Amino acid sequence: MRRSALLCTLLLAVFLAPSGAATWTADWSVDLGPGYITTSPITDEERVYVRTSGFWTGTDRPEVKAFSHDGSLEWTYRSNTTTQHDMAPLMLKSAGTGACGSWPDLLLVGWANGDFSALHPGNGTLAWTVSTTVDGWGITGAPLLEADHVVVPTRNGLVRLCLGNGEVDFSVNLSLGWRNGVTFAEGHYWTGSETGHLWQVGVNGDTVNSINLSGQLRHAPVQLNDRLFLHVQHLTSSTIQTYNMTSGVLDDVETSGGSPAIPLLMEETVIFGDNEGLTSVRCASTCSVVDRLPSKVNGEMASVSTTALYAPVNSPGEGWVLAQLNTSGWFTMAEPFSTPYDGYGTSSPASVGEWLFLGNDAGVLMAYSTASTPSENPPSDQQDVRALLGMVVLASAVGGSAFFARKGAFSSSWRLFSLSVLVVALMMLPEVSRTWSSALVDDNAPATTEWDDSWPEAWLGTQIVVFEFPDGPVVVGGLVGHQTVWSLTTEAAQASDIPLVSQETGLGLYLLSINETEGSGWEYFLNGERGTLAVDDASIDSTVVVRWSLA
Amino acid sequence: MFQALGVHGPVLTPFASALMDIALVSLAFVFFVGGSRTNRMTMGMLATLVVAISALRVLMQPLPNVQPLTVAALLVGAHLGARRGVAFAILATLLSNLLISHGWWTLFQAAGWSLVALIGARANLVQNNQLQLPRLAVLSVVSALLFGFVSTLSLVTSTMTPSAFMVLLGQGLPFDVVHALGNLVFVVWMAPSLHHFLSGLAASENELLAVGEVYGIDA
Repeated sequence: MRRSALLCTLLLAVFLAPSGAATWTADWSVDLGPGYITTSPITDEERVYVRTSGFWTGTDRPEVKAFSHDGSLEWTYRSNTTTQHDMAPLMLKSAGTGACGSWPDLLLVGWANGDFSALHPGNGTLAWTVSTTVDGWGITGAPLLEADHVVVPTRNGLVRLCLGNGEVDFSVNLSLGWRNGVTFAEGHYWTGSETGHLWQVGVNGDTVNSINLSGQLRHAPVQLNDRLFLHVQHLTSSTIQTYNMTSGVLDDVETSGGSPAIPLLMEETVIFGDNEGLTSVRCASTCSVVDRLPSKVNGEMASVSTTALYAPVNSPGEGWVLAQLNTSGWFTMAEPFSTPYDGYGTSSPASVGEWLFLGNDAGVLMAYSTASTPSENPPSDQQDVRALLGMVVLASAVGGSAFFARKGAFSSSWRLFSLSVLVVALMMLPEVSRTWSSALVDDNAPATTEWDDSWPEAWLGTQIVVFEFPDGPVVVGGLVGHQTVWSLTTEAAQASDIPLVSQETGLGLYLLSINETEGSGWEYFLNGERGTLAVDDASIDSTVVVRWSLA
Repeated sequence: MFQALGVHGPVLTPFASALMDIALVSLAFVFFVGGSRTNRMTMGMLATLVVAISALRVLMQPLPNVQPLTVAALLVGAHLGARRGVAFAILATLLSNLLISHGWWTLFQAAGWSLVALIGARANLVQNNQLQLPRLAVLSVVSALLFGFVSTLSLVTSTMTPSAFMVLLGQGLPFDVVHALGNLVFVVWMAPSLHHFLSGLAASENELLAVGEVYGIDA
């Protein structure tokens, strides 16, 4: 009995241990609606700015919102014409004067409809806006701020704009890009593309060179000395590469997981993220991997010091991870940062002063502070109470079983014990099943296996949904930015006015009917392979064909 | 006959579905009344057991893959023999699936539980009228895995490769484990009572058959 009591105490102690960074406490949160927060909020000394993504059906539209640090909404700027996910990072530029004029404080926003807008951060009014090329979508990458210009990666190249009035300084056509940022290094602009090229552009907008990569480049190259660091995306994997700008040599450093994140430079170490986790790389004469940290990081990372970074973990039920590095590039600590709205996420936290702001696909902007009188966090507390209650009941059942066994009532003992084990197994089943299935089926098959030549070319490299109804299929393509089958299917259904009926089960969300067609149920296929997880748990690549068929 | 080849095998037309139901019921009837003579009381009590276990299965449907039918099939097979065990398995599967979800997979589930009943009939689970609980526990675990395999066969399509089938089987493993654990719970909670009930049923059948042989009843 002493051993049982000790075990129960240990279990309770483990359970009650706090999770997440102990210094931050939840202060306020605001639900921005049914869309996502795909990119990091940004802050200045007065406000936090956040953009929503995934609103373009009905009367909903993507917006940029500004809140005071204590959570009051100050203004909202709405784009009535954007039609795709807005994922270009927001940028703030302080007031200044340059060769092409002077400008006030600006909040710079790239839109999926091709517009690039400069807003007044104080009130959200428009300072100027410029339209760029739209081919399926428009601006999705991070702009580059220069002294008096901003260089914007457009859908098919780069434009450089004067900060004073948005006047186009140069515009150059390259090839189709998506989430491709731009970097200035060694006197040139460098940007990647969906066609597998690293483009080198001169300061006057002339195309100098294109380096053939083996896959897509969806981030701004990271410069360290005379090297550019690239995380090149393949169908189900990625390659970390370096490009020596002096010698023009492209080197492979490591093959890694799919869906690369935007790399982060921390002193002399470059951090990469993907489906397999974080990878630290350092260079001497050659570059090599120093350490790896298993996780799933596909979005933006943010450093909070020279040795610590936050990365969003893009998995159900996960929040962020706070990783510590030593000066040699080794991960010395990884601590989960959990919130009441954990789930899929690709945006990094933003911190200023005593504040930390976070958001993910749940679409809730959360503010944490180091203030000494934080508000309570009811959802988390309720979960704690429920889990504690469960632990007490379970411990009682096991204790009762031991009691019966001690009394010689083995039949009753077995009954209580077996029932307890079954209850635990049933509680663990959803998570175990999800993890086990994910381990068995590691990556989605290539989307090319399901590609139909009759589909528009603009759908290449996008997310496509096929509903196979008895009287013929309905196909919706050209969608981007979705992380789960459910998110993608919902948007495709909304775009085609197809009603969906779903049911929440202990094993996840289950789709009961599509367009009022039930049959024996619906099943989905990812690039031709049967889906193995609940629709809200099944993650998808940026290029995918989801096919819904009657079971 | 078939409307389409769906991911759960052929999507049955109402006519094909009715044919499958008739075939299963006929098969159960043949096994039920065929072979050794069966008195009306046995039939009635067994029918009651079919309804009760089916109702229990429907009731437990919210708990994923907790299947009271497996242990019941083992015990019915052990007490009343392979034929009635199979008949019980088919009828209980059919009846409960009509309330839960009926389709091509019913055929495979019925086959799976029939196999379990056959194992129960051959495994000497009852010796000297004593239920061998440890043996029943082991067999209930084995039966869960076996049933999982047979019912997964309903998902096989013409384009499925052996490796894809293995993945499919692997994906079902956590659910098979829960099925096995559920079976163990039923073994310790339900098996002694069910054994008692079925022992009485078998004894009364033997007695009535003996009387029938003397007086010509139930001939």
